[in-house]
Amino acid sequence: MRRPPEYDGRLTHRILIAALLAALAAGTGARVQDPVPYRVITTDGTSLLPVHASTGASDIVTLDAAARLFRLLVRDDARAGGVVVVSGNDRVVLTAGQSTVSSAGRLVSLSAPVTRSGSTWLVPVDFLRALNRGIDVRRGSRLIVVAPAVVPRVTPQFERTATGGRLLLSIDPGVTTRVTRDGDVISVRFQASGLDVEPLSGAPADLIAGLRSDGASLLVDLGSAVTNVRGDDGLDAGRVTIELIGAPPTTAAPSLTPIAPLDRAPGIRTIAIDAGHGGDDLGARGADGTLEKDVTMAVAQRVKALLEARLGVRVIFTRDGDAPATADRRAALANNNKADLFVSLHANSSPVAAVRGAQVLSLDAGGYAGVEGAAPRSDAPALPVPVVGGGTRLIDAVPWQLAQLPHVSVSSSLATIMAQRLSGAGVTMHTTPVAVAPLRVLVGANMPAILIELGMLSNVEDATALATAAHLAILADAIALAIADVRFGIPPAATGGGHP
Amino acid sequence: MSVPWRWLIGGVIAAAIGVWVVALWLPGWLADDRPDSTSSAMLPGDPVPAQTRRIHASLFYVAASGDGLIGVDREVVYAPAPAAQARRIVEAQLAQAPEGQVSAIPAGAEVRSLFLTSRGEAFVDITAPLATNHPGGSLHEALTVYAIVNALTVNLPDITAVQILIDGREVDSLAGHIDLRHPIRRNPGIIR
Repeated sequence: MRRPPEYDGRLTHRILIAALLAALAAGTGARVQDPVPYRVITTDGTSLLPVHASTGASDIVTLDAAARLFRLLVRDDARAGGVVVVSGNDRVVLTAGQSTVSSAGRLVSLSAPVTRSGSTWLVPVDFLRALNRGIDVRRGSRLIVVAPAVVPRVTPQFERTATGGRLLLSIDPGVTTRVTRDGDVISVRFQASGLDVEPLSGAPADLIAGLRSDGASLLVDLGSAVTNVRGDDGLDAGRVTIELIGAPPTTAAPSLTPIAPLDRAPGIRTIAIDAGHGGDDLGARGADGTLEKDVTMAVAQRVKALLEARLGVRVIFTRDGDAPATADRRAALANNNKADLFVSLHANSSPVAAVRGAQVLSLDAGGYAGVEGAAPRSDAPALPVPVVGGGTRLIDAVPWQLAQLPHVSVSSSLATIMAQRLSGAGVTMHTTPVAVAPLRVLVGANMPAILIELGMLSNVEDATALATAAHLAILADAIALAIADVRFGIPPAATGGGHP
Repeated sequence: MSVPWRWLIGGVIAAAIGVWVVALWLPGWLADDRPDSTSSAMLPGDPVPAQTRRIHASLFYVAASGDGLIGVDREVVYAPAPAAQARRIVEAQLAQAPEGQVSAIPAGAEVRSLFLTSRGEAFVDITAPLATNHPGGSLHEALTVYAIVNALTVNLPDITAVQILIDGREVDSLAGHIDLRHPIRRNPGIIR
C-alpha cells in the first residue's frame, strides 16, 4: 500500500528531528567528557587554559592558546620541521614527534611528544616549564602558577582530641596567615595569590560542617557542637593549628580504646619526592648535554602523577620547579609535612665511562659513628611535652640533623624493594644495585628514605635512555609500583647494601 | 740593687730565647710543613734523588670495574712530623694519576693545609676545584672522598677519621651527595 505524500513528509521531518536530537545528545556527552581546563594564576588574576586532550600521563594544550595566555611569539621553522617559541630572551625549539625540547641550550624532557594537527601545534602542558619563567604546572589540582604569584598547597588534617578536635593545615610553601572568626565561620587568610586546597576527610560534621576556599582565604564552617575555638596565627609559616573545643558530653563516655592524638593510621598518605639538584646546581651532565636536574624533575613529575592517580596519596615536591633547595630544606619539607616516605631522585656519574646502571641507596649509619647524638642512649630520658586538655606525654627526642638514623633498617629494605622493581621493569642495574652511603640529603629525613640513581649520565647508553620519554616513563612506573608495594608497610628484607 | 738587676736581665734573655724556640718549632710539631718543589709521589723504580728520603704508601685510584677503588703502591716524600707526612700523602693522592690508573680527584685540586687533632682526626683543607670541577653523581663523589680518606687512614693508622674542608670552610658535600660535615672514617668496603 502506498502512503500518501503528506505522510512521507511528516516521517522525514520526524527522522530529521530525531537525528538532530541524537546529534545534540552526542554533543552534550562529548562536552561532559571534555578535559577540565587549567586555572592560570598570576599576580594579575586568574584565567583559564583549555585542555585539548588528556591522556594517562599528560594533558595536551594547543600552542596557540598557550601563546595567547603567556604572550609567546611563535615562529615556524620549516627547515627543521618544528616551531620556535620566543619567551622574553629565551627561545624554545619544538620538533614534531619529539618529547624533548631545546630551551636556552638545554634539553628538557616532556611527558608526551609534541605533535602537529594541520596548522595547529599540540604540546603537553608541562612544556610551559621549559620557558624559564617560573611557571609551576600542578596537574593534580589543574593549576598553573606563574611566579611571582604564590599559591601554597594547603593540606588539611583532622585529629580527635580529648576536648573536641584539631584542624591542622600544612602549607607548602609556608606563607604568613591570619586566623579570624566571624560567627560560625573561621577564616584563615593567606598572604598569597590563591590557594591549592586538598579535600578534608574524616572530620565529624558536628565539629567541621564544611571547608571551602575563597581566593586567598580558607573558610571553615563550624559544626553545631563547637563551643570555643583557639587558633594560632601561623607562628610556623608552614602550619596552622585550629583547636575546636566541643560541648562537654552529657552522658558518661562509652568505654573506647584510647587513641593517642598524635598516632597515625597505618598506610602511606604522604610521599615526598625529592628531585635532585636544581637551579644553578645542574648535577651530573651527559655527553649529549642532558642535565641531571632535568632528568630528576621529569621523573618526579611522572611519579607524582602516577601516585596521585593510582594510590590517591598526597605527593609533595621538595623543590619548587627549577628553584634550588638546600639539603636541610628538602628534609625539613618532608618532615614538616609528615611525609611517610622520602624518595630522592638522582642520576649518577662514574670516572669510567663503561660503568652503567641504576642504583638505589640508603643511609650508611656507620658513616655517623662518633658523631654526637648518633649513638643510641638507653639512659637518655624521654622529654615530657604538654598536650591539649592537660597533662603531658613523653616523647623520645631525635637529633634533627640525624633523624634518619632510627629508620636505616627500614630504608634499606625499601631500597631492596625499589631495586627489584626497577630490575623487573627491565631497567639496567648497576653491578651493586643496592648500596649505602653517608648521604647528606637523607640523614635529616625522619621517615624511611632512599636515593635512586636513575642511571649513569657518564655512560652513553644510559644517558641516551635518560633523554627519552619512554625510558623515563618506565622508571617512573617502576618507582610507583615499588611504592604501591609498601603502601601498607615495608617488610623487612634480608639483603643489605654494599658501598657505592 | 745590682744583683736583682742582673737576675732580671738574665731572666728576660732566657724568656726571649724560649719564645724564639717555641715560635720557630711549634708550628712544625703541630701542623704540616710547606711542600718542597719535588713531586710528593713517585712510582717504584723511578730515580730517587739521593738526598730525598721516601716512604711507600698505598694511594687509591678507580678500579677497572668503575665501582670502587684499588690501592696502588707508590713512593711518597718522607716528612718527619705526622701532619707533614699526612700532607705529603694527600698531595700525592691529588696529583695526576700514574699511567694506567684513573684518578677520582677532579683536576686542579690542591692541598691548602692539613691539621691533626689529638683525637686522631685529620682536617684536610683543599682548594675549591675539588668541588667546583667535580662532575657529580653519588658514585663519583664517594670515590673522590674515600680516595682521600682511605689514603690517610690506611697509611697513617693513627688517623682514624678525616674531614675535608674546601677553601678553609666546612661544606655540606662536594657535589650534593656525600655528607662532609663530620670527620669520615675509612671505608674498606669501597676497596676492590
